[in-house]
Amino acid sequence: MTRAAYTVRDSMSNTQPLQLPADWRDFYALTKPRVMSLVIFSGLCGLLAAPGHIHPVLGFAAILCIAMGAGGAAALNMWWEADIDANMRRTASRPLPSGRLKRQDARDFGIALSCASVGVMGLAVHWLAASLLAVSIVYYAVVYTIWLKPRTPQNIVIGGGAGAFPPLIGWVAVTGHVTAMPLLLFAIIFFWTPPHFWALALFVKTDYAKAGIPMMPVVRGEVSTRRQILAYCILLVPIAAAPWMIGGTGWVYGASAIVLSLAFLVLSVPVALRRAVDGDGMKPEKRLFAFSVFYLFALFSALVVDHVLTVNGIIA
Amino acid sequence: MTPEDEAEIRRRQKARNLALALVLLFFVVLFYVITLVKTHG
Repeated sequence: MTRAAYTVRDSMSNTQPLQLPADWRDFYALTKPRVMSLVIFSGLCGLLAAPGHIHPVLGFAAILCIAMGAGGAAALNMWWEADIDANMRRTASRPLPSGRLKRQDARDFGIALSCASVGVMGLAVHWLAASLLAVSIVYYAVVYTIWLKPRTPQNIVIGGGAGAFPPLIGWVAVTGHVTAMPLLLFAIIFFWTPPHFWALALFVKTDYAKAGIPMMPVVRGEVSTRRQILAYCILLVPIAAAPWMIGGTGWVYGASAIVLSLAFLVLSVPVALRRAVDGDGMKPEKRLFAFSVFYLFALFSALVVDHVLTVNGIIA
Repeated sequence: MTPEDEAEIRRRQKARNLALALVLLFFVVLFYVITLVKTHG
């Protein structure tokens, strides 16, 4: 007997579906734990790299709220996109399209998690961080999911802003105000998102096309998408180095940003220049996607390491 | 509804209740500690 599909016979020998109570793991899956790990990491890096001090308990609460907010927004995303997810191989086994969870339960869970995250952030840390968290949730759940994603191939570009909030919120949780440095961290993730996501969209484009999502490779074609990936990778070099250039970090971050961004750029060149043929495995695109994940982890790790070395007087 | 179905429903309800209880307990402790930090820190 599967977890999703149960039937029960009544006295007239008709069959009707028996909806089992959802498992707690299905609620956990609604929060997109893999995406959340990147959110937690970038938020934590913003918090650790910020000048100033925050009590560890309040710092923990801030990161927990960022994670809860991301989880709530992800649940609302899955609630809204349940029909779309059912048409894509990558997402068809999620709790809603597979029938393991009621749609309204996902909506209520998302709203509750989102509201709780903002409320706890405001009470435990401060209301500027809570306001930014609220904006990031609305940005992802409404601006990206409901408004942009089904309407424009630029969905990822503008929607990338939603994923760029965590380091900004983490930073502001410590300092209490918005300055150039956290805005640059925001910009790094904002400009990193298109090449990261379009590299993925290039090798899963048949799924997006089937689901009717206007992803760049589907609407504008592969050639345009590949050129734009290269353009964003070029832009990312000065943007990633900007925190060092304005004197916000030491040379450890600056050198890491330049090396990593140039490597990202080099890997994007074959993706930009080649044309895929059937059965070629899409290796350059998959390599670029894999490196893009490593890039963000390495860059933000370098930011924290640089800050620790600077604070302890090891580097100037 | 077969006895197996009923047992599965009870098992899931119990697991969800336990998970919810743990989450609530976690937040009780967290709020307590946050209050201590905010009042003494």
